[in-house]
Amino acid sequence: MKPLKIAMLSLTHGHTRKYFQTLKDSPKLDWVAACAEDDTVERRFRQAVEGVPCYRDEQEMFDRHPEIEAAVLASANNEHLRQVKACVQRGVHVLSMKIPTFDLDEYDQMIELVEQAGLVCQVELELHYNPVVRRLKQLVAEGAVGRIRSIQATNITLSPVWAFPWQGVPEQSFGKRVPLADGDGRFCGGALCDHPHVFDLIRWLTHSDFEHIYAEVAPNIRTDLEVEDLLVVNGKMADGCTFLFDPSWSRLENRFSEPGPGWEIFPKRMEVNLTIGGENGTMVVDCFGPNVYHNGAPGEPAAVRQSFSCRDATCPGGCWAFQWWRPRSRPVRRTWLPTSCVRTVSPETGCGGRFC
Amino acid sequence: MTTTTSLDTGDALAALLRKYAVQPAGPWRLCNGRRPPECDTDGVLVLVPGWSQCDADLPEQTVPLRPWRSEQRFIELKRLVDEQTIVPVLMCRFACLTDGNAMPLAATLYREFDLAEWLVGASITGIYAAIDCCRAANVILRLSNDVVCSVETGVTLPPGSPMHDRHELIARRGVASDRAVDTQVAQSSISAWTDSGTQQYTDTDAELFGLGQDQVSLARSAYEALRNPECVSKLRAEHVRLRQLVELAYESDRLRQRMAVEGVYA
Repeated sequence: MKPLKIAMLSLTHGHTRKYFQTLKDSPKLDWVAACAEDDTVERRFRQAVEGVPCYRDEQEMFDRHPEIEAAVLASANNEHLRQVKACVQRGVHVLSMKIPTFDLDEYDQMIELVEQAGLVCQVELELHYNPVVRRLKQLVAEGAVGRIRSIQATNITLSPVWAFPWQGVPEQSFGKRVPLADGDGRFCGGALCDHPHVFDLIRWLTHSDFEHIYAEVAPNIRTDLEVEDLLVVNGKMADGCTFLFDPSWSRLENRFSEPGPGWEIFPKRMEVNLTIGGENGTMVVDCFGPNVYHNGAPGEPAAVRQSFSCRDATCPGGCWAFQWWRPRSRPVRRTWLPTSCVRTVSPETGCGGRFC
Repeated sequence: MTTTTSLDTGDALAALLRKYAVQPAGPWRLCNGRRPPECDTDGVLVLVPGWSQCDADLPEQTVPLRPWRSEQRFIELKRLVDEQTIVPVLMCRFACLTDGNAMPLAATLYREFDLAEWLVGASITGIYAAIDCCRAANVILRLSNDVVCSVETGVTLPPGSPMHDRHELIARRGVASDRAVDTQVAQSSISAWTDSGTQQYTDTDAELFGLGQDQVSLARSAYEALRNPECVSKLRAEHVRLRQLVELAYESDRLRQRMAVEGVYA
């Protein structure tokens, strides 16, 4: 099979560096070009990757490399629609970082564009390719705990905003400046925008849609952020299954401009843990465990390092990032819920039934 | 398997009272089941875990205990807050799963709501709950100092399973938890793999050695109630309030509304 000729745009997303090795090493991919957002990003890219031309202008990159077949949109959320359009115009398949957009009209445009062009557009939701989740799905399908009645989940991390500043800018993360609530000085675009996976996972596991959602936002850990960093969400699915989800940036970090050893203050940078309560039993799940532990980083007493692998020999790229799928409906997206607000989510109101 | 004990909690409490020369005001009886025995009409003070009475009116002479407040891990968590080792607390994440026999769903909420107020040192002012019949409750609390607390409880463990719980306090400076970093289940002090199988032991109280953790905390809380009889009326009043908070959670689920809590925690 001929390797897929691929490019990477912007390079400003927090997951960017995780792609470098796969794009370099996979025999099924031919990494032909990259485009950096600014001087700093370009310098870091050139330090990390050799042999891949790096441009500062997407147009120039596409013009010089008409052979590009697919592109990774490793960019701020508010860049996604523009980049999807640019790719579609050139017949380039798309892998978009989550979230493609919080604007439903933009979503419709994206879906229409790729479907009319006959292109593949995938959203990066890596839990679909996580081996622990795969086992969980299998156990649930086998009826290990019976029908699911409750899901509790965390998707908590340190805050990425010091290394990836756009995640702290409401316009770039959420798409526009929307206050969390009347009288609250903060705006949508923080932790909840960064951690959509569990919403997707709950729907995937229960085969049911969200019936209603409630959220409470706590005071920020980081008082100098203008987006939220601590919140919890609960509610019910249409089948009555209840859920509670913590997507917070509740792990403190040293404010590095580039991720590296010693970035974390709390020993563990990230976790996605689940408790599944069924009619016949309970499962407790650590989607990114087990791990290894060290204390070699400067000024750091102990740290956790992930030791799982999401590599999958059956997928084209040998990595979760390249399990392409063509969305049949809108990609995953959420409706932001301000503090102390309940919203019913139903297809009739136009707010539901469009997750995928 | 986790070891259990055949020691009697009441005997252990009696020994503790004798050891420290504590003279209770009258006869007493310690009950650790869901229902106290029919012995509250003969002037006997009946000491029970408060959660065992959360769906019934409190009989006269009954003292509703909160054994968790005597459990060392919670004492240490509270100390971390009170001494401002972690400060200020902004969010709490509590979980409590049982088999439903030892402690039903409403009782888990009773326990966790009290822990939230006690550990944080503030009263609950808002409740939003999503509850699945009698199996699971996912609740978000707002406390008077603006702390947000998530409470995940369920009774979906198989019969006979020990309680599985977790408590985490998140502050602007620091995080405190009763579970080790990167774990979700309780650790044991001793794990033994022998010809007779796998055994786990967790002993946290030398003075009450041989009792299980639940028995230790029950005996400790009963000891404090008998030693300080003036606290009984306060325990009964706070029990009523906790019951009302649990009822509000169910009301929130029924109405699908955030419930405001009136009154201030004493």
